[in-house]
Amino acid sequence: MAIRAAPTSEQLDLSARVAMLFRTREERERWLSLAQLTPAMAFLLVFLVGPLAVFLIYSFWVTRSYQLISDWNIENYREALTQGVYRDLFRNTIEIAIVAAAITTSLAYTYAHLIRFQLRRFQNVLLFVAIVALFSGYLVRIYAWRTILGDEGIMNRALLSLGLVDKPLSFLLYSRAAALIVLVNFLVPLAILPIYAALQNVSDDQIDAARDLGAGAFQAFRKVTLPLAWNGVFVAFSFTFIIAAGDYVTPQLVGGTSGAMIGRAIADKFGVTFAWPLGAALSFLTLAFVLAILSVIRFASRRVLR
Amino acid sequence: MRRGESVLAWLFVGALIAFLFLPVAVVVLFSLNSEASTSLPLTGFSLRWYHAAFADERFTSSLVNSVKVAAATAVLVALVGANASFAISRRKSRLLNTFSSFVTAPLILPGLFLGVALLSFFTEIGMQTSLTTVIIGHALVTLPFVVLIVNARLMNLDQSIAEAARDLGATPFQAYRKIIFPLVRPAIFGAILLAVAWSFDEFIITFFTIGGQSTLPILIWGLLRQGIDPSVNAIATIILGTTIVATLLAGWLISGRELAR
Repeated sequence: MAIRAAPTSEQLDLSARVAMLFRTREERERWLSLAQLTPAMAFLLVFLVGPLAVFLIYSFWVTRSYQLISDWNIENYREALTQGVYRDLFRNTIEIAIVAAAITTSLAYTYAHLIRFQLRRFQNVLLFVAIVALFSGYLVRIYAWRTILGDEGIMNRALLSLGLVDKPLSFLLYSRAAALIVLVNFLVPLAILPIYAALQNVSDDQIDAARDLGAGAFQAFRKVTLPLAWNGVFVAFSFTFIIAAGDYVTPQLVGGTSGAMIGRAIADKFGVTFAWPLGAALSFLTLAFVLAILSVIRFASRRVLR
Repeated sequence: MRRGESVLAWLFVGALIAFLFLPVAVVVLFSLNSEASTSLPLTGFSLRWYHAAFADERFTSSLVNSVKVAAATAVLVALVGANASFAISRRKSRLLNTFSSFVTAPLILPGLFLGVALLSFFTEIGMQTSLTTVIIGHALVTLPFVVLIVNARLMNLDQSIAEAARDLGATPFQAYRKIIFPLVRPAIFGAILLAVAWSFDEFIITFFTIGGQSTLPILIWGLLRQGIDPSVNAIATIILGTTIVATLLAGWLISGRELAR
């Protein structure tokens, strides 16, 4: 059995300091908080910041004979911005995504407004219906729309048997309209949640006060409800715009040529054509365009709603 | 007047709900159709597409993979996410505020963007894509669910409960384990169920991070590219059934208001 040396004054000092760290309740709490937060923080730093950093770095690299080479340049961004094919895809994407987000937000707002103010006895159930819709299928939903809109689909069969058309309407599927229908269909539930949450913060008293002071129903909505709920509406619009702009399955499965979007080109760069750096540049540019447009809307809406 | 308004309100709400659930209804209906055709009228009731699916080895192995991924994702995000929520709710600091906005970032980024970024990252660090990388991707997106939901529940709790426990001599850890944790446990389970529902249905991130393996959505994607196979409807219905049941159970454990944030 080894005989322990007597602790030196320096070691004593250290253990005393460690004991001090845990001395008060606040200090113990702070350490517990830190311990509880560390795993999540580490996970996000490694698997969110890490991938985004690598992805950004890749956008400045090149590929040569199926190898990624760290030959730093901005060629990918130049190509993405100057080639006609990508310009068209960017324009298509922004147009489709902005229209999809606008329709989605209007429908979601109407739904949230109605359940909050008119059907309030049922609001919890109706909100929950939206949540179930949110979690009921993404790929499955898009695939189902092919069954509905296709040449042999339900819609065309119905039109044929009613004698309204004499051959299937092929433009129902593989068109911009199809892409919009599908995007709106899976985005509406996502938009309902933030809008409903914002409407929760609009109290009946505030609206009643406006009405008592002589505001009509529309004026009360325009001057009281909408400005108060605007943050939620903007969050809903932003979410749906970003997700629509970055979607890849919708243009792939129902978009056709008029509904072609950048997401499909990006996915191709990571699949059949090995062009990761270009794909990365296209991704960052899409995000940049979307964020720029959202900032403009944010700025403009602040002025209008004052 | 009032009655007329509420009829109109019900008309809109009903029409929107019908639009939202139309694809779901179509998939379920055709999965039970006796013929291979996917057009109306239905020819008769049959479970043959389910039998066909279960007889297919690709289906059973994909199902097992989907279950593995969903279960592992759920356990991971519950442990990591719930602990983070406790830390966030306990005290306010700049670090914690930064973290709260940071943790929701994966929800805001498109799945495609996250998927290809994760693929680049795994390639760069030399990590083979597999079910493990899929679980990491799913955990990234479902972590915010858990943090936000558990946080909402913690905010609704009366803070004086924990203080009372501590004034009576409980350490912070005891107060957390004996008092706070049991009160938020339903919210944690609810969040886990939503993570399961989301994971079971997830396609894009999985597509880029799975390598050679398959989950149910990946199988459906493959079948779609091969042309019409009516068992797709049966497989899709199995996914839908799982996610809808999980969401319903989650709704029983957490209130809609805690979700609408």
